[in-house]
Amino acid sequence: MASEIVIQTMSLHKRYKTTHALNDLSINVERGDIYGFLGPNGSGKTTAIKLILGLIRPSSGNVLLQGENVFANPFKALSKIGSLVETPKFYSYLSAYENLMLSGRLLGNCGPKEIFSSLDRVELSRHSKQKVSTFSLGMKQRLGIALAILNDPEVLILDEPTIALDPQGMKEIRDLLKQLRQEKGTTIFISTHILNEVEQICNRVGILKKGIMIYEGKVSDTLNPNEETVELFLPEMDKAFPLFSALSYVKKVERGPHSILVLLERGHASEMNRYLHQQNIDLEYLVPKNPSLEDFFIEITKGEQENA
Amino acid sequence: MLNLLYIELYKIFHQRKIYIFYIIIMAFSFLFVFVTKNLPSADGTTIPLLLLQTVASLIIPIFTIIFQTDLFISEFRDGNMKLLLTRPISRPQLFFAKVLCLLVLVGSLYLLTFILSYILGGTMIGFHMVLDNEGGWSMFFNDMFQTSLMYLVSVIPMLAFGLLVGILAMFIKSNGTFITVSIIAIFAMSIVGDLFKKVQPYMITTYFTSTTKLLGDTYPIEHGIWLGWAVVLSYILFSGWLCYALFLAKDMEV
Repeated sequence: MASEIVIQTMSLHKRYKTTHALNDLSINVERGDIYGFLGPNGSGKTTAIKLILGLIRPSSGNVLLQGENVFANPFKALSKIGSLVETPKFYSYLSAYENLMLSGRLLGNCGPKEIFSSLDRVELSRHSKQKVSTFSLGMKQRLGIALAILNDPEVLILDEPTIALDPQGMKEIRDLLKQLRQEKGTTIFISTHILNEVEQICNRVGILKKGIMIYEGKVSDTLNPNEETVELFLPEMDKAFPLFSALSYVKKVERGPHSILVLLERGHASEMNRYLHQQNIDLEYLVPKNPSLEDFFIEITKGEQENA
Repeated sequence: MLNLLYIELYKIFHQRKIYIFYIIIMAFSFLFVFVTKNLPSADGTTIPLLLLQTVASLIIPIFTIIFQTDLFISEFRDGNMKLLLTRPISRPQLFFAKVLCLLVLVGSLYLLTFILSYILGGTMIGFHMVLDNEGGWSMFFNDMFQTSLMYLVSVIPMLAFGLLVGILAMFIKSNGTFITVSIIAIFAMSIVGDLFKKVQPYMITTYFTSTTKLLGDTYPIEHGIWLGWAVVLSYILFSGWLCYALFLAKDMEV
């Protein structure tokens, strides 16, 4: 059976006067995906999310949410969507419960039971009567997530949901998202700076750079299973460095100030170790460097420093 | 739509501001009746119209401006609009709910003034001018009906004014700047109207206090009122349409 695309952007373009914030952005998120949306600061992630939710208008292009045009038919397009855009802005003079209650009135079937269940999931039910103005940033973030999951949405669109949360809170939200995916089959589109988070929970990833999608694919494909990197600490680096060129399974060698970084075909590390020993090279340490999404991200975005 | 109206009203009535406005109107009405009660021509039946002219000339227009800051500018600035617009509603629905909310709020101010004027006028002065005559009660209710009609009609130019300043609300990001510019607009239109009698009928401020231009001097309605209605309705249609178009096109960046 063909997989159903639930979030689809078609050649989205957003221009601000002379600046092109997004250029020809096409995203396809399939039902059941947990899609990580990555990019350095200022790459256009939040602009893309605002466009997807119809909060801003594209200069050209279109957005379909569950097959409905979000600009022409927001009522249908947004009916099964939960979202959190940037740091959530609430009516600070109202309580957490009241904020959810007002939003819930527009969703139907959102009574006190659903509101408290949603608050419970982010551990805010005991603060339900507290005014939002007294909330910390982390509590507001949790409340934003409670708001997003209030109507048991089929699709969740989250813009940096774990920002401002402590490590424990981050883990809880990650677990909650995984749980929603497992129990209810919720499709999740998540923009984040925390690459480790994406690696842990996402199956697909899109990487944006300067408003252009430079990679879209499976997370597993970014973690090359055929290669591995090892870092070698040697007292005689000058003597050892030229020797690697003789090894066919070595793909790349980089010399650092205190070590040599070797990219090689997986499973050849011990062979390389023996070879160095035969060449009378003393090896102090061999540190395996697991390939990570972070490496891939830095590589593909050409190592821009401002990212995660 | 009713849900959205409920939400807009819920937000307004859960802030202190609206109650402060009501208290100001109450205090002003009391002072007004207290000051005018010793005038030789003072009577409980004339107080409602005198009070209407006074509050409608400046107090209610300023409150209308402040309502518009809450309904539009603060929500644009604070990003609250996103909370609603990411829900399954359309922008036209939200816009009309906000306009309806403005109408209800402005209407509530007029209603409060109307009720207070009769209570205070009756208790502090009395309705001698009509009740001391034969068929006094009948005259009283006829007079009250005409006055209520004037109060009702006064809401319409105020809505037109609210929509007119609503256009500014689509561009101005600061509450303070919006309030200042809108108040300057009231004074400018009033001054231009006073200086140039020919343009006076085309200034919306003219209709804040001159309900006779919409209802005629006597009851039933005269023919000479059509220019007034044409002007007020033109303001509503033009300002409303422009405000609506700008609201629909506005990017919710914050």
